[in-house]
Order: sequence, then C-alpha cells, then structure tokens
Amino acid sequence: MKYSFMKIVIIILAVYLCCSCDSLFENELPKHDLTAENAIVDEASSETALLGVYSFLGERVFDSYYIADNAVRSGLVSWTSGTYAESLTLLRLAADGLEVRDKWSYAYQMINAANNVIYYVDKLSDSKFRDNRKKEIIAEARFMRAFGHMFLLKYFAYFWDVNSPYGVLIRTEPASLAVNAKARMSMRDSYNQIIEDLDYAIENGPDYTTCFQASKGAAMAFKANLLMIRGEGEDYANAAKLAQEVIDHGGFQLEETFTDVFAKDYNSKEVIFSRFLSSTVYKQADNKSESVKRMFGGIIDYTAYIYMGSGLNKDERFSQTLQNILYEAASKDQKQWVWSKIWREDGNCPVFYMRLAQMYLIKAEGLARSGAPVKDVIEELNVLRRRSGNTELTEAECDTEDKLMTAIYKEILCEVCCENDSEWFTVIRFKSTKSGGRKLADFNINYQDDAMLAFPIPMGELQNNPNMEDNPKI
Amino acid sequence: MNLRAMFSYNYDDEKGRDYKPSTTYNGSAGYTGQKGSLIETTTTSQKKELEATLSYAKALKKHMFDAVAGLTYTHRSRESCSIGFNDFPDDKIQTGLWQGANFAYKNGSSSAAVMFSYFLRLNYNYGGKYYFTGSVRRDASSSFARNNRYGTFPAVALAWNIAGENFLKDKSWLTLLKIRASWGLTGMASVGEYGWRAMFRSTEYLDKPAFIPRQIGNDDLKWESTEQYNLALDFGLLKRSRITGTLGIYLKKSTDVLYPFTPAPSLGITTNATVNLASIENKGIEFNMNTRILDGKKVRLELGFNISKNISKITNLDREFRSSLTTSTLSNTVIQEGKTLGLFYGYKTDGIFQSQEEVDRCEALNGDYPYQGVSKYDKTSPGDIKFVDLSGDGRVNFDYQSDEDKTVLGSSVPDFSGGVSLRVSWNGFSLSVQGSFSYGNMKSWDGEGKQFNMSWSTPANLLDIALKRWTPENPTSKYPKMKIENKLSSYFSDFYLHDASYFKIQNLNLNYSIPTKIVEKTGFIKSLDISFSVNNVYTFTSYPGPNPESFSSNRIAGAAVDNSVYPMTRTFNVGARISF
Repeated sequence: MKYSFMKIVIIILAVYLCCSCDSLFENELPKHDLTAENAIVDEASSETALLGVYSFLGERVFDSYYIADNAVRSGLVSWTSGTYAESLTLLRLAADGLEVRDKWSYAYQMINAANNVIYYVDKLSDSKFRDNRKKEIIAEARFMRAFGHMFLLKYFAYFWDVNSPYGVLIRTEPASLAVNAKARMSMRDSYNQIIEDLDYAIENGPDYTTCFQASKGAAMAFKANLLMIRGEGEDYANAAKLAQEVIDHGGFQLEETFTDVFAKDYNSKEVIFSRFLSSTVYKQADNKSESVKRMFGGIIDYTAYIYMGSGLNKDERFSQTLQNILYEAASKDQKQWVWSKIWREDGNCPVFYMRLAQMYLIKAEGLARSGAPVKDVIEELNVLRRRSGNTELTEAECDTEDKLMTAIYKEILCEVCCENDSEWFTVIRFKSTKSGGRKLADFNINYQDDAMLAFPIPMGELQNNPNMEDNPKI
Repeated sequence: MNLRAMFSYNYDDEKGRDYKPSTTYNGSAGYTGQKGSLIETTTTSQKKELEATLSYAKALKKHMFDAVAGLTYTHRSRESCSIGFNDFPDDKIQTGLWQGANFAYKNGSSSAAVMFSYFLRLNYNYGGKYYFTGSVRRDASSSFARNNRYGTFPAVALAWNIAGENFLKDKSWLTLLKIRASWGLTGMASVGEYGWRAMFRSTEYLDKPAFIPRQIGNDDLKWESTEQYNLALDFGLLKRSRITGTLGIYLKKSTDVLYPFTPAPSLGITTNATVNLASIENKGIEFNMNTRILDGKKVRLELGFNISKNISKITNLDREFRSSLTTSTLSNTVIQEGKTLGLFYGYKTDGIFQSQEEVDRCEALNGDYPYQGVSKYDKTSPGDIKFVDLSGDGRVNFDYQSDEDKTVLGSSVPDFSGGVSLRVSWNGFSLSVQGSFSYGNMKSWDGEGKQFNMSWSTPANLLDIALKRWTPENPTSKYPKMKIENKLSSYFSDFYLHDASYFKIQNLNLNYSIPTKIVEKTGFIKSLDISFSVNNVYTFTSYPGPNPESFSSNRIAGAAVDNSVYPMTRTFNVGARISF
C-alpha cells in the first residue's frame, strides 16, 4: 500500500486528537464569564467575591423595606396606601406576593453568595493571603450568612418560641441540586446555627474600620441582639455582658449628641453596621426606592407617630429627628412631609442595621430581665437620655417592674425606631400593661394570634422544595 | 482501502440594525419626545470541523464486507454584542450609532463548545440475503462535566431478505419479504454550552466591582441515552408490487432525560438548571400499507394508510424532583412512576351550580371553611363551576400544597393515530388527498377559562361561547357565569379538558396537465400544468378549542395544552407551471 505524505500527516493528526482529547476540553472555559475554576483563586478575587455578598444589601428588601415593614406591622407607623402596606397592617400576607417573594429570594441569594465565598476561599492555600485575611474573609462571609438567616428568622420563623418546629430553612452549602430539597430547622437549631456563625465572626473577624463591612464588634452586637430575641435562660444576662463588651472593645464610639449621629451618618463611629448606597443609585434617588428617600419623601404619613401619642413626642429626640418637616420636592405646591431621621436631600439616606446606642438599650433590658438593681438599669438608659438632652430617669420613677419595663420600652422606641425592627421585637417581647398579653395588641388591633407574626412561606419554595413545610395558617 | 479527510471552516458574521424613528411609539419612548432609537447587533459564529474516515471494502464470492472507521472534531463558537443609543439629529441621514446622543442599551454573550467523536462501522452481507451491520461510536462533549463527558453508543442491525431465498424466488405474487431487527443506543446532548458549570456574574459594591453566583454547577450532568429495539417486516405483494407495506414494533428506553429544572428559591439561584431527570419508555406498533388499486396507463388509483400506537411509561423517576414538576413547571400535568406521560392532574368538576339551594347544600357541609374557596370572603353563587370534594371533608381544598382533592383527570396520549392518502389520476388529471387522525386523547383548552373571566388588568376579546354563559335568565347553561377576576378559573380542572380525537383532511391537491399535443401547437411551450390546492381542508372533531393538533416544545407537556389563540389558517393555492 502506498502512503502519501498527506495521508501520514492526517493519521498522525488523528492519533494525536484521540490521545489528547481531554486537553481539548480543558480549554473550553467561557471566554468572558467567571466560573468555579477561575472566579475565586486568590486574595484579590476573594475580596471581590466578598463584596458580591455585601452587594445584596443594596436591594430594597434590605433598604427601605427593612426599616419600614415591621414598624408598620407593629402598628406604630402607618403607611398611607397600597395593598402591601395594608396587608402588613392586617398581618395577613399573600404567599405569592412580590414583597414576600423578594424578601425570601434576596436573603437566600445573599446566603448563597456567602456560602460560595466560604466554600471556595476555604479551599485556597493560606499562603495566598496576607496575615489573617483568609480567616477574616470567611468570618465576614459567615457574618453575612448569619445576617441573611436572621433576616429570614425575623419574617418567616417562629422566633418568639424557641421550642417551635417552625425555624429557619438554613443553607450552609453552595447551591447544588443535591441539596435542593431541604427541610427547615427547628427554632432552637436555627438559633444555634446562626450563633455558631456569629461566634466564628467574633473569633476571626477583622477589627472595626468601616461600617460597610462586618467586624468582630458587629458580630458581637448582632449576637447580643439575637440573644434578646431568643430570651431563654441566661440569654438576657449574656446579652447584657456582650453589649458591655461591644461598648468597651468594639472599636465604636458614642456620638456626643443624638443629632450628631444623624449629622455624620455613615461617618459616625457609632454606626456598627450599615449598607453602602452605590453612587449610581443615589444619583437617581427620586426614582429608586432603594435610596429610602423616595419612600419617606411622601409615603410614610406624618400622622404616623401613633406611638408618640402617649407623651413620647415630648422626648427631645422627637423634635430632633422624628418630627416631620415639609420638603419642597419640585415646587412650593408639591411639598412633601419627610422624616428628618432618615431623609437626606442628596438621596444618600442612612440605613443603620445597628449602632452603638442599641447596646446601651440591650444592656439595660438584659440587666432588668436578669434581676439587676434598678439603679444599674437606669444608668444605661440615662447615658442615652443625657446626650439627647432629656431629663434623667430616677429610681423613684421606676420603682415597680411595670414602670421600669415601660421606661426601657419607651427608650427603645425613641432612640432606635425605624432603624432595624427593634420596635417589632419590642412589642412582641414586652407585655401589655393593660392586657398582660403582647404589647403588640395595644397598637395593632388586627393582631389576634401568634401565627400572624410570621409571613407565609413563599409559594415558589413550597412548590420546588418538597421538604419545606409552610407556617401554620392564620 | 480509502482514507478521506476533510476540514471545514465556517465563519458567519451577522450585523443587525434596528432603527426606530422618532415618529413611532417605541422610537419616541411612548411619545415622550425621544428622538429615535437605534440598536446595532453584531453576531459572529465560527465552526471548525475536522472529519477523517478510513474505509475498506472487500468482496469474496458471496461475502460482501465493508468497514468504516472515523473521527470528527467540531468546535463551535459564537459571540454577540448589541449596543443601543437614543436621540438622533434626524431620522433619515444622521443615524449612525455614534450620532445618537444618549447611550441606552448594551447586551452580549459569548459561548463555545467542543464535540469530539470517533466511530467504527461494519457492514456485511451474504448473497444479498443476510445483512449485518454493527457500529460503535464514542462521543464527547464539553457541555458535560469532566467525569461524564464521554458517551458510548453501540448499535447492531440484522436483516434477512426472505424473498431472496431459493424456495421463494420467482414467486410472482411475492416481490419483497424482508425481516429487519436492530438494537442500538443513541445519545442526546440538548444542553447549553456551559450547562454543567457553576457560573458567576458581575455586580458592584462600595463602588467597586464584585461578583455573585449566577448558575448552579452540576457535575452529574451527563448524556441522555436512548436504547432502541426494532423489529420490522417489509413486504411487497402481487405483480409489480401492487401492495407494499411495513409492519414494525419498537421499544425505546430513554434514560437520564435532560430537562430544565426550577430550583427552590432558597437555593439562591434564579435561573433554571438542566438535569438528567427520569427515564421514559416508549413502545409501539406501526403499520403502513400502500396499494395501487388501479394501475392502468390512463387511470391510476392509489390508496395509502398508516396507523400507529405508542405507549409511554415513566420508569425511573427521581422522587426528589417530583413535586416540583407536578406543581411548578407543569401545573396541569403529573408525572407518576410507572404511568404514561401527559397525565392531567387537577380538580374534578360537576357542572355548574344552578341554584342557590344547591350552593347552600354544599356550603353546609363544612362548618369551618367555605365549600370552594381559599378564604371566607370567597363566596360561591349560582353560575359558578361546581368542584368535587374528593376527600369527603365537605370542602374543596385549594391550598397550594394540598393534593387531597386533586386527581388524575385523563391523558393527552392518543390510543392510536395515523394517516390516509389517496391519489387518483386520469387523462392528465390528478387528485391527491391526505388526511390524519388521532383517537382517544384529551386536551386542555387553555383559553376557555378566560372566556368567563373579566380581567381588569388584561382585558381581551372573547369568543361567542361567552354569550352562552350562565345567567339568571339562562340557568341551565353548561358554561359558568362571567365574573371579575374569577379565581375559580385559575384552578386547573377537567372543566377545560376535552376529547381531542379528530380526523383531519390536511390537504387536497388537484392538478391538470394540458396534453402535450395541444400545448405544442403554440410552438414555444413544452408543457403546461395547472394546479389547485387547499391546506387544512376540514377537521372532523368534537373538540371546541382552536387546534386539536397543538403540540408544545416542552417534551413532557407534549400535546397536553392547547395555547392557540387563533384557529389554524386555511390556505388556497392556484398555480400554473409552464416550461419552455
């Protein structure tokens, strides 16, 4: 048989192709897209991925809705109109509603982003990172995973009953089809899992340098807050201790006056954790609900301070930040009521997920609930009262448990209302002096039973996750 | 021995330009003063293919033998980019992309895939009587994860030409008798280029770039393979094969069927993932026959007929994905282990509530819940569809997860289907008619529920059956009454299911060739044919919806739902063919 030169070349080529076919495929990475192989490979790309986790804080569920939803549910603020606002007040949400779906979806997208960072960064060798940065990045991601799960706990779980089976659906692995079907945890396990993440962040997180990223101190502060929400056994006492630790060693600093906090906003060292509003969003603040500006520039009614009725409007903080002012939106004819606490003309409205003042409130309540002397409790409250120009509380004013708890409760509302849902947990945790039931009943007449405190699980989850159980129907 | 190699390279460059003038609705952004908008799209696709085959053929007396070995390597890539600008100086001349004042739009994509296969095929036959074919191929695709990249697909076929045997040779009544049997595996890779990869997308935070997960990785993604057994008998009877036909049976088992899967929202990924889902088994019988009843020079009459029956069965359902399939992607059909595809799943109905007494009787059954409604505000009244309470607890449970009142309502798979054809020619005239039929299948008419629902958000024109609706003056109607935002019409029920058996005359074609003698008189025309044809001639069916033949591209939904809005068009063609 005769072999021409070409034939030989082709045969060699064919043999080469057969032998090297695996290498043919390895080059087929997407040209312009990041994949598991090339996304998180070193410290710089780990930091970029970590920013991706934080980026979800720019979604409206962590912005305007974050500060307003539960104030409305509490019955302390009324929203002027809209089906969603109405269903919040009625404490009856539709399982297929956009806002319910969005909360669930964005929280889990954030958790999945965090799980990816935790998973891929952990696989990289330590030598690719400066000092402790690898552990810090994982700690920040775990803090954000806890933040996401706490957000879900607040809306979708029976957080008020540690023995309830209706806990959070906890996700701790990067999304994969193998874990698609997953059951929710019991409430006790949910708390433990979130605390485990926060403990890791307390242990390994970075020191505080900016409020836009998590720090050790932020993890401690959120843990203290979570212990107050759980409220079992030593939780109150431990929360008080943790709050003191944040005050002493968190790296944060109380502003001299209450108004300073809102004058300095993000630059205040009192702010423990906040979200960064991208410049592209706040340039279009009037059209973006994410900026909060538009939301409070007209949507919250100035008659909203139902809770101010009981004399709270005499508090100095009311006139300093809560009283409505008229803002000329487009012309003098289009004046809108705005809430100076959260409204900023340039659109970069602050959303404080946590600030140091709350540690004093947690400490005060934690002490009060774990049997500390009244003097110690009111001293913590007076720190905040002094700096806001209010008269100090005296022991005589708080000589019964009812009076003391009412004082704490009022202090929480005046200091941190419409910031991070403290009012919601407060009206659920505190007892009504009238009925002895939840204080919520005093403000929101629609509240009848505890099943109304949790949102229904979104329809899409029940349809696509066969192991997920819905919350009991109202 | 023959060696053949071929390399081909295709380069395809497409440019699209979509200019909307300022006088149009879109170009003016809804008449808000925008001065035109332009989007330019560039798409480049490349395909490089290398194919080499080595073939060998040998004949030794009655043994005929040939073999082919080969390999192919295919690389495809595609890149697309769209840019848009708004506000142009004018609509006619100064409309270059760079002349738009404001940037408006960008989009793009880039993908590439490699496919590599090698194969060997052997053919052997002995004296034109016994045939054997054997082949094996190995395919690899970059669309699958490393461990599942390769699929091996062998096939064997045997045939026996019985009519070629001595004992049947020269029998004028038997012109063809052949038995064929085959077995084989085939692979399917209907999956996106990067369907198995975990992917990320860019975003920003702190005014710095950031990225977040976009697509779930699936290392288990692999070839969908179909194992197929065939047995067939070809026959030709009478002189000049006046009767020909084939009788065949087959068994097809598809395993690891590729299907888009909707992940639970709690996975934190909002795009679907491709998964290997269930196994589907299809078996069936096919028969076709053609007869030339009249076979003269002037008159011919041909009749053709085919009929087939297919039975499908899901055999290897992964339980884990079951509920998502039944409730989300396909809310009307259920996929059940061991059952056929295309089962309808929903509520049973029992006509229309004709009187208040009837409503009251049902409402009295359960003290805590309304008879059919989600909340106590959902009131039932005469003229509403009456749902059936299968669980016997005195209410129809419409809760999302509840299956207590749902049941299998029927199947969209026909008992049998087929076609007929008729061809007559006489003296230059020829007439052909083709028809098809299907028997025993049900279909959901998607639009029917909307006929009794007044929507404030998406109002639409209604069909005449809306006039036959229930009204106090027409209390015996089989259709429900009209309601605003009628919730009851959103629960899938057998009310919208219909027997979709049909016989359809698909087309009719009449042709006349003017005799050559006449035509040639013109001196310059060689032949002249005049034809008339109709498509979609007539359908005999009791199905009330627009299209009894509707079929969805979704492999599992298949023929279940008729989404058509308009009836099928009927076309008439008149033509002449002249050759010079």
